[in-house]
Amino acid sequence: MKRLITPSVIVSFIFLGIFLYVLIGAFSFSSMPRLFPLVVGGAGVVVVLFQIILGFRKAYRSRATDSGAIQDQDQDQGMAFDFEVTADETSREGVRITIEQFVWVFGLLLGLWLIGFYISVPIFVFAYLMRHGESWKLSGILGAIMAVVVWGLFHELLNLPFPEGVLVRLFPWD
Amino acid sequence: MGNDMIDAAILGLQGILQWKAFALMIVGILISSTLVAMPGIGSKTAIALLLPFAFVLNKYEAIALIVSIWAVSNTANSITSILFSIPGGGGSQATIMDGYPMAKKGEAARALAAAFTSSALGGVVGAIVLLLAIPVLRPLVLVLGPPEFFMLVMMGVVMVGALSGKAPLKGIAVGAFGLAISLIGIQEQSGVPRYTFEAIYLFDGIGLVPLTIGLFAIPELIALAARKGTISEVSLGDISAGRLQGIKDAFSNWWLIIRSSIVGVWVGIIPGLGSSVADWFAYGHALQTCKGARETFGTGDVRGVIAVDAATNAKEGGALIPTLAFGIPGSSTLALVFGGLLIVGVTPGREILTTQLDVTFSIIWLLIISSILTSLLCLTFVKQMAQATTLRPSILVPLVLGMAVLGSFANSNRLEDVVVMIVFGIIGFILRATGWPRPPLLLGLVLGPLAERFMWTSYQIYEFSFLLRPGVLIIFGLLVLSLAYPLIQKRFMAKRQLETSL
Repeated sequence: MKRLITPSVIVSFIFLGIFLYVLIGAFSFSSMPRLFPLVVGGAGVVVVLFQIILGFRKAYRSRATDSGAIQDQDQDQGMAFDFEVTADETSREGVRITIEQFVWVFGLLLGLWLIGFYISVPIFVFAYLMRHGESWKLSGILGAIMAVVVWGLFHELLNLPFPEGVLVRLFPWD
Repeated sequence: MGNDMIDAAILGLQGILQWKAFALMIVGILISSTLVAMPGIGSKTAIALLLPFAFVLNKYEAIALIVSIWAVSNTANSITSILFSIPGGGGSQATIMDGYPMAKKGEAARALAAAFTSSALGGVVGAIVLLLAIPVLRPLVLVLGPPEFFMLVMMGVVMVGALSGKAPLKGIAVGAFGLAISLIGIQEQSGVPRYTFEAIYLFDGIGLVPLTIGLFAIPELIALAARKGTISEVSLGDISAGRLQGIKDAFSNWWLIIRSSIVGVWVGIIPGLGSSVADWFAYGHALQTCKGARETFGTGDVRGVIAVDAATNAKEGGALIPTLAFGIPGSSTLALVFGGLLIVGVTPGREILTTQLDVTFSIIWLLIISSILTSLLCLTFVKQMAQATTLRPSILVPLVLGMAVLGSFANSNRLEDVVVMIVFGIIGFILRATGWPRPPLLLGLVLGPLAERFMWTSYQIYEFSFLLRPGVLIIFGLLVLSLAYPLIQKRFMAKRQLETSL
C-alpha cells in the first residue's frame, strides 16, 4: 500500500503553516510594514496549496494505478539544478554516517559554547580526523593549522572577538 | 564609447591592478580552481566562506576576491569530468560526453588543454558582450521606475524558482520562503520589528553568510562524508603530453567558440537558466552544426569539449547583464556575489551603471583577466589540481566545517550566527532530501528588501494603480509567457507523440 503523505507533502504543509503565520502576523502591523508581508504570505499560501493539491493528485494516481513508487519529485519537467541525492546517502550505512555528521556538528556547537572557538575548533578537527582513521601525525598537523587559522586569520586579521566558553569563564587559567 | 565610460574603464582597471586587489584575485582563482572543482563543493560554499572578508576589504579588493571565485568556477571543473567522468559542477556534465572518451583514448591532456583554452576565450567573449551591452542598458535603466524594478525583481525570484528544480511550484514556494525570511528583523523604512519573537539577535535579520553556509555547505559536507571512498580512485597517469595540440584545436575552432559563447551568453541573460543548461545547449548546437558531428560526437571529438567549455564560461558575462542592470541575479551564486557587492556599498541597478560605472568595468576586467589566468594556471598545474580532487572526504569535511563555523560567526560576531548556520543546515538537508530546490531561497532572501523598497515607493507614488503601468504589464506578460511556454511545449509534444503513435 503506497502512502499518500510523502515527506515532500509534509514539507508542503510546513511551508503552508509558515506562510499562514506570515499572513496572519502581517495584520498586526501598520500599513507600511504590512504591505509586503501580505503579498509574500498570500502568494506563498496560494502556491503551496496548489503544490499540495498536485502532490496529492500525483500520489492518488500512483496509488490507483499501483505502478511504481510514489514520486516525491512530481511534475517532472526541466532539469535538476540541485545536487541529486545519491544511492550511497540513502543506504543504511549512509543514514548512519549522516546521523553521525549531525552529531559532530552539534558537538562542535556545544564545544564552542563550553570552551570557546580557540580550543574547540582545532580539537574538533583533530578528533574528527582520528575518528575517521587518519594518522596521529596528520591529525595533529591539521589540528595545529586550524588553530593558527582561528587565531591568526580570523582573530588577528579579521579582528573577530571570539567569546570565551562558559567553562573557561568559570575556571579562568590566570 | 563616451569619455565617462573610458574614464570608468581606466579607473576600474586601476582598481583591480592594485597589488592587494590583484593578490586577492589570485587567491580567488586558486580557491575556485581547487575547492570548486571538487564534486560536492560548489562556488556558493566557497563564496559564502569568503564573504566575511568583504567586511574588512575596500570595494575593489572585495570585488576582486568574490568575482574571481565566481567567474572562473566553470573552468577547473572540467578536470574531474574529463579524467574521471564525474561532473565537477553543474556546467561540466556535457564535457564528459567527449572529454572522457578522449581521456580513455589517451588524449586527456589534449582534451584538458582544449577545454581550458576555449574556457578562457569564452570568458573573454562573454565579457565583451557585457561591455557592448552597457551603452544600450544605461538609457534603458534610467527610463524604468520603481514599479518596473519591483516587477523585475519579483520576476527574478519567480523565474529562478520555476526553473531551478523539477517542479516549478516547489521552486516558487521556496523563493517565497526566502522572501518571508527576509521579512525577519526591523523594517528599513518604518523601524518596526517583524517576526523577531522578541529576540534581539533577530532584530538585524537573518545573515546572508550563516544562511548560505548552512543551506549549501552543511548538506554537501554530509553528502560528501556519506560518499564511499575518495572522490576519485582513478590513476592520474600522464596528463601532461598533448597540451599544445589541445590549444591549437581551440584556436582552429574559433568560429565554434564564438557561436557557443553566444549560446552561453543568451542562456546567462535569462534568469534561472544556469550552467547545466548552457552546456547542453552548446553541445546540442555543436552537434547540429559541426560537420560530421553526428558520427563522431560522443566518441571523443574535441569539438564537443570546446563548445561546452566556451559556453559555460561565456554564460557568466551574460548573467551579469540582468544582475548589474536590473538587480536580478540569475542564480543563487550570483545572488551571493550580489550580496557581496551590497556589503561593500555597491548597489546593482541604476547606481552601478551611472555613478559607480568603474565598478562595472572592474568586474568586466576581472572576467577577462581571471579567465585567462585561470586557464594558464590549469594548463600548468593540471596534475596537481587533479590530485587535489582525490583528497579523502575524512580530511576535507572537518577543515571545511571548521571554516564554515568561523565564517558564520564573522557575520555579526555572535554564537547565534553558528546556531543559524546549523538550523539552515537542517533545513537545507531536508529540502535536498525531499526534492525541494534550495537556490530560490537565497534569491528571495537577497532580493526581499529590494522588492519591498520598490513596492512601497511605487505604492506611495501611484497606489495600487502602479500594477497597471504599461512597463509592469509588459514584464508581467513576459513572466507569464516564459513560465507557460515549457508547459505548452510539453503538451504540444505529448499531443504530437500521441498522433504519431496512432
